[in-house]
Amino acid sequence: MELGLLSIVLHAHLPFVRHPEHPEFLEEDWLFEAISETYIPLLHTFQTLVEKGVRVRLTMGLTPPLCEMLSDPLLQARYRKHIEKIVELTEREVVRTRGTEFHEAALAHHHHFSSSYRIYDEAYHGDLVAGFRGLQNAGALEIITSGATHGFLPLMSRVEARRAQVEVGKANYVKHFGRDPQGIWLPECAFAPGVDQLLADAGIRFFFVDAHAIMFGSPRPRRAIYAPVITHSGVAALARDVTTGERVWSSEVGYPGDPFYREFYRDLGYDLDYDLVSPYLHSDGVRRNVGVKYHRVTGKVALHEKQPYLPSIAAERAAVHAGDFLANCQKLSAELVGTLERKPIIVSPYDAELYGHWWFEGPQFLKHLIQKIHYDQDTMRLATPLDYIDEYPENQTQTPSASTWGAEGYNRVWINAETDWMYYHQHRAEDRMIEVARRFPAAHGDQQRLLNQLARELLLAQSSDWAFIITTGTMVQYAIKRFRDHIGRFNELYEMAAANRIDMVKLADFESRDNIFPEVDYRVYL
Amino acid sequence: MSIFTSWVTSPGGRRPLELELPVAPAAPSTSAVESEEGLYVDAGMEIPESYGIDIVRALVQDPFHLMVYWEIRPESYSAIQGLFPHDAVETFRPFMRLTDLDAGDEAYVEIPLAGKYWFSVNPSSSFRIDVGALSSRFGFVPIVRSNVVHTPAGTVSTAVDEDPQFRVDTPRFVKLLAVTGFATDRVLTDVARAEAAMSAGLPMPEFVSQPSPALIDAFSRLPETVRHAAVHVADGESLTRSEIDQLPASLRLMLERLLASGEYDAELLTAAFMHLLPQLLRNALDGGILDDPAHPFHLPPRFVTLGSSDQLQRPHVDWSWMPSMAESLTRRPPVIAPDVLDTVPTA
Repeated sequence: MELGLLSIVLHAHLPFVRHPEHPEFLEEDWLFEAISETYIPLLHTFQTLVEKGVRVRLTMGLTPPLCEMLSDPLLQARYRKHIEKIVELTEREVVRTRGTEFHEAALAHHHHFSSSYRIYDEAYHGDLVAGFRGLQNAGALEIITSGATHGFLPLMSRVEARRAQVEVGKANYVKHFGRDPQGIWLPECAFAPGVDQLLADAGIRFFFVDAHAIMFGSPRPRRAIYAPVITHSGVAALARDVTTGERVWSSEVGYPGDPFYREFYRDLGYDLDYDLVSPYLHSDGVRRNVGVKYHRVTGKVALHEKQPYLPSIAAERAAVHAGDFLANCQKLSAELVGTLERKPIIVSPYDAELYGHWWFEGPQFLKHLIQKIHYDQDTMRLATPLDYIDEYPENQTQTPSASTWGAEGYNRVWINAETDWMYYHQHRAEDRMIEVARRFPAAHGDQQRLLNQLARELLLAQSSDWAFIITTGTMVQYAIKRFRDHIGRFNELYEMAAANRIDMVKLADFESRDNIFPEVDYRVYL
Repeated sequence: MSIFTSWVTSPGGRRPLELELPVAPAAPSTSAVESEEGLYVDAGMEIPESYGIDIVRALVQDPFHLMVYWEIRPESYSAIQGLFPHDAVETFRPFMRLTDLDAGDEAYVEIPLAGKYWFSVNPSSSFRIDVGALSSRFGFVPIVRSNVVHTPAGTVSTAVDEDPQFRVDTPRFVKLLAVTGFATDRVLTDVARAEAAMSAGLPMPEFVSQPSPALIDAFSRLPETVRHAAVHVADGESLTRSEIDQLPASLRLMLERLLASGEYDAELLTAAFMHLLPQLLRNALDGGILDDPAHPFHLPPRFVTLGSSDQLQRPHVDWSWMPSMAESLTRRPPVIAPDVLDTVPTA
């Protein structure tokens, strides 16, 4: 007997990083690593299951910047160059490690990267968005959109600026997926009352929040986080289940900390003799991760004490963990079904890049989980939010609490003593964008080009990633540079617009650098 | 280098981790500056320090904190002074006024003509900021007004659905809090138990989580009544009425909002107490001096130490109006002590 619905949500996002002005650029590796380690493995896993007749039903967020990068010819060409080098490195490693305890891991990496490249090239001809679109058309995925550049909506100053993030995100989704989005991943799950009206205006039917949004919402939720609530604008909000999610998220008590899984922080880029690894580094010659890792988590030991990675044992652990996750969902559903007086929906959202990139065996875990749900039991069913709403159209009306899924549950990760200087500049650009859109509501020709580029620079400056990176303290200088560059370009373009004197050389330069959203129409700010 | 984000050590989405990752070299740049390490880094384009307008905006950080930035043109400030008698001009100083729109309370902070500032406020309230000039003779004259911001409640709502279909009674809601992990907090209870054991000179108990020494230290700096209540909860008990009565005023008032909504439920109040406890720990973690009357509890610790407001002088402001952990609810107008800037004696 069916006791509950499991809604797995994978949120795939990277900031728009594309630097045609340099022959190679370190931060573009973020995309290349995610393609090889997450996006292709997930696509391949879902596609294979569908072809086997297994029922796949997941929600997947692909943000507009990610779709734009995956579809960009320059980045596609650079990815091919990147993966060709790694495949070559792993070929050499298979020979070098023969007869050593690392050989199995070397073989597995060679197989992984060469397969990824083959799938990228032969199955999808470099167009991964088309692959995801195909899975949506097959009913396996419900793909949702996000803010245009993952802008943090509650910290924007003007409702027009928030609306533009939603509308440009929607338009980009239509361009890539050929239909209107039904759902949205609010950037950082950042909700504040009022945001839901913008979603309703865009025809969006559901969004996700963190658990305290609904648990602290008003009035008190009758079914806690195990049913959607309907906001006063008519859009459904679904909250993530922390207790089951922790089994995957947590590096302390979660599956990814299993001693047999691959250790992320021990990388061949640092272990291999410099002469052997240097051809596979960037031209600056600095050692860094190359994505080939021969050690396992082992336990809480220093990096030099990590033991050799054995992929065959790790694969078995992924199956065990999939069984454990399913059992926990079944147990929770059995406990809840009486109290709720209907089946619960357990919402389990994750950063997609957790699967494969951080947790190398994550895609295998998902494969086993989907298979087990399909073949081994009949108490849990994979479902999307709309599947639930179709089954239970009557849901409680509530105003969820303002919240995010960041540390401490509110806005601290994005606005704090390190990032508070950013908001005056961002807000000033929002004011100015609205001002010139109103002043020139029917621009055409070069003026229209200028105003569209102005909108691109504002959208890129609004990306929540810059503040997040500054707070995490990992690539701070790059995030500051990006924010300042977009604000700087915006201000130069604004001066041109205000004075009605266009520097066409400069405009063309900015257009070539920040070419996201060729379809954008600045009138979205009217 | 890898994807910039990291997965987390506890339930939560994107949570900063302190990881020792390789430092990435900078890309070639046309606007390079020399970093401390001697590497050339691209710092990005120049952006203005000010925009030459009159503006103030407020942003919510969490249930207890607001950030405000503002800019006032010198000519706007002078124009205000020009409305008053010549001999009054020097009695004005630029000030910012925070208004709690629900309680009607006000706080005043002396400011430069441009800057940013962090306020410590109460949850579930609406606030507005005015920037203007304050004179001990003529009072406050606003120049520019901010947007209105609302702080979230930080705990469960007092409202129960009027539709019987969706009404949830308190015992059932308490059960739902437990199932969803909102009845208590594993880390916080372990922190409380660890600190209690340490202060009593007892051996450390077995922990489910691994409480960090920094959290234990922060916990030790909470008011005695809060610590006592937290340890009681960590032992699996519910807060008693007398424990609630002894909590600092602001915390007690927040819990009493729940009490006022209906029947007394110790488990619900205990859960709400645990929802608010992290914010108290956050203040302590940030270096707040909790028991020092010179630094009231609600004053943002970053203001006392380092942070965004370090460009400001300590404000000449009476904070005692604010319903805080340590202070009364009495509303009082700001008191500005006469100083050398005042040519006219305070009325």
